[in-house]
Amino acid sequence: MWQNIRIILQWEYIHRVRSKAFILSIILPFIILALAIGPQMLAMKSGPEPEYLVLISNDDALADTIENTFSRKYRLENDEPRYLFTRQSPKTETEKDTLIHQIIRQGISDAVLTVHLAASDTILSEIYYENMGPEHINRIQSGLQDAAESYRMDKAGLNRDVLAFIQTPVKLIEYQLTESGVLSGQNILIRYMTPFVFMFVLIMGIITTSQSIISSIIEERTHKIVELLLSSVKPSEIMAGKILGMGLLGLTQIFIYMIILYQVGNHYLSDQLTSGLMNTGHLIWYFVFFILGYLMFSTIYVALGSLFDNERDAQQLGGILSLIALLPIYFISFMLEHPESSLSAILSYIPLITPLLMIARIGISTPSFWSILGMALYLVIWIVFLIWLSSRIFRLAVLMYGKRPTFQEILRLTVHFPGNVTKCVRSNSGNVILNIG
Amino acid sequence: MLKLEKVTKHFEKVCAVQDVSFQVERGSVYGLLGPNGAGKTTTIRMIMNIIRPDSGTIRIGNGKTGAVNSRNLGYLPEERGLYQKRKIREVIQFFGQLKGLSPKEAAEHCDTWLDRFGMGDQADRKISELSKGNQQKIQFIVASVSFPDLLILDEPFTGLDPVNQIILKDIIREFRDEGKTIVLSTHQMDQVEQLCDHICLINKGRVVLEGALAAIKEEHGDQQIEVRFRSGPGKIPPGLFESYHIQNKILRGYLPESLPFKEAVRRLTDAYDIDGIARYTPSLEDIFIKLVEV
Repeated sequence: MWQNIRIILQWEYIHRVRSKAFILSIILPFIILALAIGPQMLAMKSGPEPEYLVLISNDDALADTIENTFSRKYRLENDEPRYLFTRQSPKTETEKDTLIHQIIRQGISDAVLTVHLAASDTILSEIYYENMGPEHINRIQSGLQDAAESYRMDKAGLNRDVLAFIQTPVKLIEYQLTESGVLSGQNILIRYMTPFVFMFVLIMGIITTSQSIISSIIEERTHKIVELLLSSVKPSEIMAGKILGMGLLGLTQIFIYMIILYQVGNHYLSDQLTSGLMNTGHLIWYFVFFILGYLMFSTIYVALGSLFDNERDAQQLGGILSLIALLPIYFISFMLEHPESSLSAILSYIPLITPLLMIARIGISTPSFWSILGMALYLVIWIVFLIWLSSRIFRLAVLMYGKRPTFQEILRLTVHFPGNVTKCVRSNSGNVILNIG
Repeated sequence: MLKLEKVTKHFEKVCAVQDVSFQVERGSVYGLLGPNGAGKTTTIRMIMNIIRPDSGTIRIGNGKTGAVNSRNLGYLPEERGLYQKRKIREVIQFFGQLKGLSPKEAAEHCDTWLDRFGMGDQADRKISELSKGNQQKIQFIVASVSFPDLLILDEPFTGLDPVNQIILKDIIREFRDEGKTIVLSTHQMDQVEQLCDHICLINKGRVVLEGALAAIKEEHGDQQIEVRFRSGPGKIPPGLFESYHIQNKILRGYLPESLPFKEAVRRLTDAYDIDGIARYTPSLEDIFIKLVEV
């Protein structure tokens, strides 16, 4: 039995791991991530060139304060000022309008900033530009606010040092008391981040490999290979081989993700944070629930693939199931607030979301060892049950070329345990007749 | 080698196979015949333990089906298919290993078989790149990769050109000569006549004819007659033949059980200008059509 499972596992794994779909499934999440945050990062990252601004102000002291504030607050990577100002002093409003249009049209400067000190020290400011990103506008807005505060403090005769002293932030140092000891500061961050990394990878794994799993089963149905397989191996061996093959594929995927994330972490995060992420005490449990979660979804996808004889129909339902994998994300905020609540515990018992919620619970709260082990066994029982059920659906469905079993037929199959093998024929009336042993 | 005793299989109200019994001797080629929907494939699937009978027993060698080492069983199903995106070599070795061959054995057997079919240089091509006929050859190789003791072939000649049909027939004969047993299910009666020693004809789930091919032909040839007329015979008097057909002044037909051959010859020569009369040995197809029509 194990020999056949191993051969099928190997067959599935080697073919899938070399497929373009798998390579794409590894690269795709990072491409999506890069596309999602890349432009924003680029926009936020300072460009090598400073921005040129023309400043028009009716008050020289205010203009000086603005220049000083911007120069102090915004610097380029080479420590040069990010914003370089040129002052202009038009005599009339008409002259100002003409000047602004001229500067912008001829590209003399990136923008024109007008600052008007009105009665009661009210500051009215306008900015004119042709092309300027929102991040610059936000910075200029913030810089103007700081400059206005400085100007008004000077005018009111307030001591800046005294104000800085008053505004000194209060430092709150957190300590979390757990069974394994006291965690503080960065360790708490690590403790919270690790499960999210695992959850993200698991969800991505489920979404990206669901298609491969369904295709694998449907290939055998549509190309009529099943009968040949069944003449050598049992349906349960086929199912187990496929599911374990896919599980191994999932592990390969997580392994590659982990290496990439570790390398990225090494580059962008502190050494302490990166090594902390990889050495969390619950890492083994995260792996256990990751594998169980992967197997759970693989089993369901295999059963789904057995029910359909074309990929399009199966993918539709598979897509909905993938969304179920995302469900725990909606509960996370609640669990963060109430990690030990009854609802959190109850949600953990829904098998499709158990793996993800358990990863989150272990990270957020501190369930007892026995409670975690119990949930792992609970999932194993579900997986074994689903393999059993799937192999029956598989055997029923695979012999029904060109016909999908109805819900009633599946129900009958599962309710009446088929000690005998199932088979269907088409009667004279065109109905499919099932024998469920 | 293979023995079925009163095997019955129902699919709810439909009886697919009813009390089917036959025995296949080691080192023989056995023909399993029948019209479409007769129950042949169901019978084969039960032999292969893909489905189980409601009652009756199936024994292969000394053991019940299901307990037999799959290495000793080869099966070419009627519903054919292979992994289209995989290489020929990979597919053959995969099924070889599922049959219990070691990876090394599977590789060796794969090469032997591909060379036999003149496809040794194509081992690394994908299945989808092959013609239908070549895919059929690979399908046969997959069925027989382990050189099984019992090989069940369901319509093995479909899709093969005459040259490859000859190669396949030679291989089947070789298998037989090596003491292996072949069950051949086909509609091509001429192939059955060329290859099979014994046959079993199933119709509507029941065995209607079983035994040695030569004996069956002899038994069904007693009342068959071929008459060559010199000129068109005109109207044939009723009662002389049970059934007949005339083509190019040659009549082939069945005499009634009550009419002895000699008496029939006398009546025919008295009534017609006859060129010759002979007992006609029926083809298997004639017997098949006659029994199935009845």
